Amino acid sequence: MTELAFEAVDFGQLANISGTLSEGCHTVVGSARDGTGELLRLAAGLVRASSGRVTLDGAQAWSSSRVRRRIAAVCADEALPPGRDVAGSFQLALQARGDARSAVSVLEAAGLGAFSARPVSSLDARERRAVALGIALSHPDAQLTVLHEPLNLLDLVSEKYLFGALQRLSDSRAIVLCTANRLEDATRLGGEVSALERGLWLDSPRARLPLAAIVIRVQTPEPERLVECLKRVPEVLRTQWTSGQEVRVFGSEPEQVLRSIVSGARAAAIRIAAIKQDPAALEVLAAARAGLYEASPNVAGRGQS
Amino acid sequence: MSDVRVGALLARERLRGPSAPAILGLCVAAVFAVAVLERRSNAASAADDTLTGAVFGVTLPLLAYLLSERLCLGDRLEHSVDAVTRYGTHRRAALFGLLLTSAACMAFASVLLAWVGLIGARPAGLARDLLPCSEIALVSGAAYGLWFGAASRFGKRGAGRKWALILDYLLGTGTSAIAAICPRAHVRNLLGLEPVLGFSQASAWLALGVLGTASLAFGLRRIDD
Repeated sequence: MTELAFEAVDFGQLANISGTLSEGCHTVVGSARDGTGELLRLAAGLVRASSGRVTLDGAQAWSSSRVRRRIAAVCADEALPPGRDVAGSFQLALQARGDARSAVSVLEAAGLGAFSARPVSSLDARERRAVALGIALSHPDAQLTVLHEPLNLLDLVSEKYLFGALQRLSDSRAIVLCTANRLEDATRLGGEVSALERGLWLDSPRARLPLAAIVIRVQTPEPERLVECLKRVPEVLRTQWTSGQEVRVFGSEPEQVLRSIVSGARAAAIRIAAIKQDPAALEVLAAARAGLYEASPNVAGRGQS
Repeated sequence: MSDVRVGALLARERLRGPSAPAILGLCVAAVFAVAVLERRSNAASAADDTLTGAVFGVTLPLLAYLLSERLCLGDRLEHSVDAVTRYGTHRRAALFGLLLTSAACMAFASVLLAWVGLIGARPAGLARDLLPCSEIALVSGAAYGLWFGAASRFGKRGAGRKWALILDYLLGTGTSAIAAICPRAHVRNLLGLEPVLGFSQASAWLALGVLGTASLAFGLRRIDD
């Protein structure tokens, strides 16, 4: 059984991500700020994790061409291989993965035949992504397909082609990992839905709300430095400081956040005059009672290695 | 083998377009102009001065630097093949193809420049000089191509290329041990100027070969699949 594994991975926004994905479709809801782009680039083996490992069936894609050959990917920002025109660029991509088919026929099949004769430099970012989607979905034997917000390209690629290809991949027992920036898109893509919020990978998109459920007010004569210092603290999801000596710190786990604030301030020699926690908002308490805020990451996020 | 070919195809695609031939054309025109001026100034030494100065001294290293910059897209050598390795091409094989293409292009450009320099300088034994000059140009062009490729492994965004160019200009004219790592020192030896470390001309051929091979080996060293 094919398995994509993230083992204590640190990269960009993502911190200490661990978990495994098995065959079938998986959609991650989140924005680029949350690290969705980085998650996909790691999965596709386009970048090496700062620490930890990303493996497909036990082998790291970054360092194994054999594994990369079984991966098809469309990232947030695509740079196509060089070529005289799109067909030439597409052909080089096919040759690079050992595919002997003609680029023009594959482009036609993807409904992208109109791009064939255009120079690569004349394509805008979305058109480049559409061509990259054509390359990815034409992979005859992909074990892992990673697609960054594929539904955003539906005006360039036909819905029938996209969903047909996704169905074919699901039927062939491959792993499909997509990202979407809206829950509605994730629902359309189907499969298991999870969410990324500032590098935290959560069980369900519904679990996003409680992440800022607690607010801690910190009084300090050096608010600017404290904000800067807390930016690097994974337990702190957001800070707010406009003027004065009070910094509002948002997080999910009160004890961890408090401990992080104190240790961070101590390490940076920042004096704290007072710390006080705001009571939770009523809607949060109500939702918690209804069981909506059960933040149980299926893949351990920051600080949960 | 097909992955080496993909690397070579990638290099070819990056050199496609009007700018690469335009730069080569400019270099050829400049070398020819210098050769004609040298002939008018002193016909007896025009060929030697053109070859040691304009051709092998200035244009060849500069052209090799520009070619390397273009093939690596201004980045480090190991990232220069990312465009194809993401689809499953073996990284080292693709780099091998890219570096071989770079060496071949430089060898061709170098021979062309040497011929244009000789034709412009019009020495007494032009036909006799063409063959040995072509041999020197072929080997030195390839060595420069590979040398700048290896230098692209250093520095942020392959800044090592720039340092290699400066090093070659500043230290390559010397005869000390440090000059021995610069292709210029051995090319000067082959052209009949002072030898580096007292090497014979036969050793200079060997040194250029070793330098090129070592550069190729270093360029491919510790590269993931």
